[in-house]
Amino acid sequence: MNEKISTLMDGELERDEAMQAIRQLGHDANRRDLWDQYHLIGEVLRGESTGEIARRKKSADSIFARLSIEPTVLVPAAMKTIPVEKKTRMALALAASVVTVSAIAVMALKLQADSSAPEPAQMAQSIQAAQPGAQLVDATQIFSEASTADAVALEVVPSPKLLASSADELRVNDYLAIHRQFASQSGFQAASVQIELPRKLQQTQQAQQPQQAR
Amino acid sequence: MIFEASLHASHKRMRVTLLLLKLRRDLLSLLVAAAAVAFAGAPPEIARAQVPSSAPTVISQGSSKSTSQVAPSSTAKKATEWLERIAKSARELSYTGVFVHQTSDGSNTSRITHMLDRQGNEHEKIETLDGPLREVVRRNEEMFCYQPDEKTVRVDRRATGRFFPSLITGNPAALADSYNVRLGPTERIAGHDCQWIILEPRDAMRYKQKLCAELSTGLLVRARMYNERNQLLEQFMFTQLDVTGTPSKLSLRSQFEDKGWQRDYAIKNNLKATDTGWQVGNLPAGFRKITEMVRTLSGRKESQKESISQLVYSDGLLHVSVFVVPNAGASVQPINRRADGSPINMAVRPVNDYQVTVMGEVPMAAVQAIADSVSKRK
Repeated sequence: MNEKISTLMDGELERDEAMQAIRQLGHDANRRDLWDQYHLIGEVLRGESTGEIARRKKSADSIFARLSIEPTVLVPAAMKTIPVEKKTRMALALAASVVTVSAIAVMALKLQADSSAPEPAQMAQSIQAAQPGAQLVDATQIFSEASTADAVALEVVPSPKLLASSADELRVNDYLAIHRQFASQSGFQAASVQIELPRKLQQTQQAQQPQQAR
Repeated sequence: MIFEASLHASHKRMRVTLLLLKLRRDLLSLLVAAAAVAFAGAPPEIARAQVPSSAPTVISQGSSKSTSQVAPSSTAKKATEWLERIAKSARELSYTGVFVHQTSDGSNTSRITHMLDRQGNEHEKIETLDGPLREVVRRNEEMFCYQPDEKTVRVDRRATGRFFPSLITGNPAALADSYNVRLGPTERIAGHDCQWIILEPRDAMRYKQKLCAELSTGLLVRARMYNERNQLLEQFMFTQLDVTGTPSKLSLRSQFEDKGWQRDYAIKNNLKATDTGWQVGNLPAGFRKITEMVRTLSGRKESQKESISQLVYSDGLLHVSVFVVPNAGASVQPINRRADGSPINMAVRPVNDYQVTVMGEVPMAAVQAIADSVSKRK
């Protein structure tokens, strides 16, 4: 099936096969993920990585959700028949780039913001380890957009508001206003602050001591 | 695992395996499938020729890359020159425009009018277009913030706020010590052709920045900040920008200027810097002290205005504030927090009989390093 997805992606499936594959995609969330990943990889291979997989994934989900309700209609717009020579040329181009793919794939992995797999970048890991606040950042994902120049629509996930009772005592919000210096409108408003349990902090601090020593 | 078997079978010599092993399996199986398809599809003699020739290709790519990083190449120099243009144009150009500031809390829009007069003084007015109206009028580093709902003018000195498009506040050339600066693509934004400049942090003490400057003037048109997981933390962008005209003096004054509102001075000692008697022992590389001063809180009655010592540190792009107040007998718990809806991290520490609060648009590691090393100067 995985091969079929990739062939479908290349527009090389026969009409009937394509319909069947699309229908299967509509029923199988795992394969839809694969579909997304293939596209991401395709983009990276073609050097047009846009990092918009998160955004696109959403639209793909809605399309496939619709498809699984009404599985009959949708016809892929362009049913291309690709001449054999072109196929061979494409294959050669692919072969040439396969070796460089590994490096690119590392980048691709980085782009997957929701990836739970261990990141290859050692630095990122050590930063997270050295950063008790990291969980907070994770939990309140600022923008789930990856890294490019042309994305305009930003997805903003509202962060859970945990208003600190002791924040007033600590005058944190006053300090925030001072630090921002009217530089943004939110600086004018009473800024809210998230609190991390001090106990947890102390544990992480202890765990962190040897790291800092290094 | 599937991919290992097929890789083995097809090409033992493929060094890629080592790299591939680190990748996720689903991604891998695709790569291997792609490789298999490619090799199967291609005529055998070509496929064989392809493999050995592709290995040197990788090496040459790698070496060309590394030389461009080691030697201060012309592109790195060009990128640094762009930073200088960005800093200079934000200060010296006349411009009017509307920009949007986005964080996870949402976005807000402001209008900016900027001019450099003949004496070399900077004049700027920023009006908020979303939410309650505020006007910030700036003359060089002196700021007047008009707050109509409180009929107050808060007088302050610019020190830590991130004011677009003057985001580069330090020596642009020194930024190359803290960031790997390189040129990105060019792009058309808000009707202007722009050059992206990418600043990758050299350590974990700062965030990645992407700056986009107008080709002809060097004025910043867009700026983005990313955390270590490459998630966008903050974005500024002009949605409308005019660099052709000279703003009138009137357009640079607040409409509330003559209302006779109460003046609220943020800094004691006539906005001058003073010695607070505090210091930071373990300052992250690239950061240096910009100023220190004694402040008052806004909106408090005179009797409630206690003094707050503030020390300001910057790497030329990002700012960290250190606030010190007496703890007034209360015990202070060490705390690390992230300010909601902003890229600001903060930490609170007890130091002797004082409460030390550190905050800035820097990773928690930097905030902590500073917070853990604040002490009274002997």
